[in-house]
Amino acid sequence: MYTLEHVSRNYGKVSALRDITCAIPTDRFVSVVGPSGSGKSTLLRLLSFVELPTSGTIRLDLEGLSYTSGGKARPWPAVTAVFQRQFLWPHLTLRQNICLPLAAGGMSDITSRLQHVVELFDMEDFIDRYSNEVSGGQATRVALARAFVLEPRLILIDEPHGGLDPEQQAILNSYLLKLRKAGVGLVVVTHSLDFAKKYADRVVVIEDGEVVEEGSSTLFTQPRSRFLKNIVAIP
Amino acid sequence: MNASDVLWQYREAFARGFFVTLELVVLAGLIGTFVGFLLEWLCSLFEGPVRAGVDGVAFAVSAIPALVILFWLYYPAQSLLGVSVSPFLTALAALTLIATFSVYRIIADARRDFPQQYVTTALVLGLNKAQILRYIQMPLLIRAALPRWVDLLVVLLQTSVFASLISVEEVFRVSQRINSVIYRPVIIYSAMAVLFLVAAGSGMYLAKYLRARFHRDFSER
Repeated sequence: MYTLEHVSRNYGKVSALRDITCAIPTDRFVSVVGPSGSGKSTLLRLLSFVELPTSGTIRLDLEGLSYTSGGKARPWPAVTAVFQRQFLWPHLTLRQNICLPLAAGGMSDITSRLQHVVELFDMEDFIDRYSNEVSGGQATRVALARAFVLEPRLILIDEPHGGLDPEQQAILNSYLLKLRKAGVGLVVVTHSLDFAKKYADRVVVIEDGEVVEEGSSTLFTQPRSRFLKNIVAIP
Repeated sequence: MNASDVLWQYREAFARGFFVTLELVVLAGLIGTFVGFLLEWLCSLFEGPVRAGVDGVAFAVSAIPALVILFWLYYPAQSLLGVSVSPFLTALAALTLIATFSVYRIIADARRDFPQQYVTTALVLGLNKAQILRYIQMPLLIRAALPRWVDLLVVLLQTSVFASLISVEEVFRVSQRINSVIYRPVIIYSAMAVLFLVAAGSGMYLAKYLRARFHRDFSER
């Protein structure tokens, strides 16, 4: 469980997040939605502990361990992230991209883990290519596989549907469900309200750097926030 | 005496001169690379005024002609310090100075252009800093810097002819001396040009090969 207390994040004079206090479960499928520039990706980076809040604290309680922002919290790879542009390492093949974190973590069963994710994410046809030789959808699958192969408890995912056509989005959703079925907690930042409505156990709505609404997907039937009201009002 | 006779007769002198040239370039390249790397590393630790100062010196070294640096080190600097350093070591110092700040700029540029998200991604996937440096940063930085580094060696090779002006017995000075004896400038300077073509051409070919081998088009297809 993440506990955020009065969390703010500024970039110079720009305030990306403002005084957020909320709790975000780590063992569920959580969707973070909101308009562009509302602070969703910033929240994800803070939750991944690669960035620190300007003020306030973020506490992560995970399997008996507690991590607090501001210290040298390194919950990786128990908590890992897939960022918006996947950031597959371009000098390595996709196979090497997946194997490197396993080897770096001293895993002994690299071959079997690799085989498992290659089958799970249907990557046999392109696993030996480089990242610039595959489509956006395939790259997202590899990035998810690279995170999942480490057996994390939680994966934070930023805009997985970005740049994908509807068919690729549907395929991607099926893989996200596979992750969920495998027991991995997911926090997914998305523009796709349909996706959030259909799959998320919990929805967090951000507007202008503030959490304005949170709850189950019933939020979509009785929206309170301006953002959701506007979207739901569109026929 | 035809062209081949001239070249054959003075082959040992040419070889000795060319060896001195290569010695200058290789030593300056290696020392400059090491010190340039070290300088960039130190700047990355301290940044701020240290980086600004080194950037200023690097700019000055690249803006001042190599010949001026060489002469300055050979005459005023030695006079001011009251020391006498051999022409070879003076030329080596000048070329090393140029190589050092060129390597510093090459590495600094490659580091500045390095996408930090590759590092962030590696962090959240559990790699430690040493692993990130070894498996992510170094391979990508070297790929970015290697062709420019080989280009630098070619520039050093061309610049090394200035060493003849302070009496270093490198290939240009040897050619001048031979020419002063037999006065066959076309043959002698053509032979020297061929030597440079072979050496610089090899370097340029190597740079081209390295670009083709390691430089990947990272854009999506």
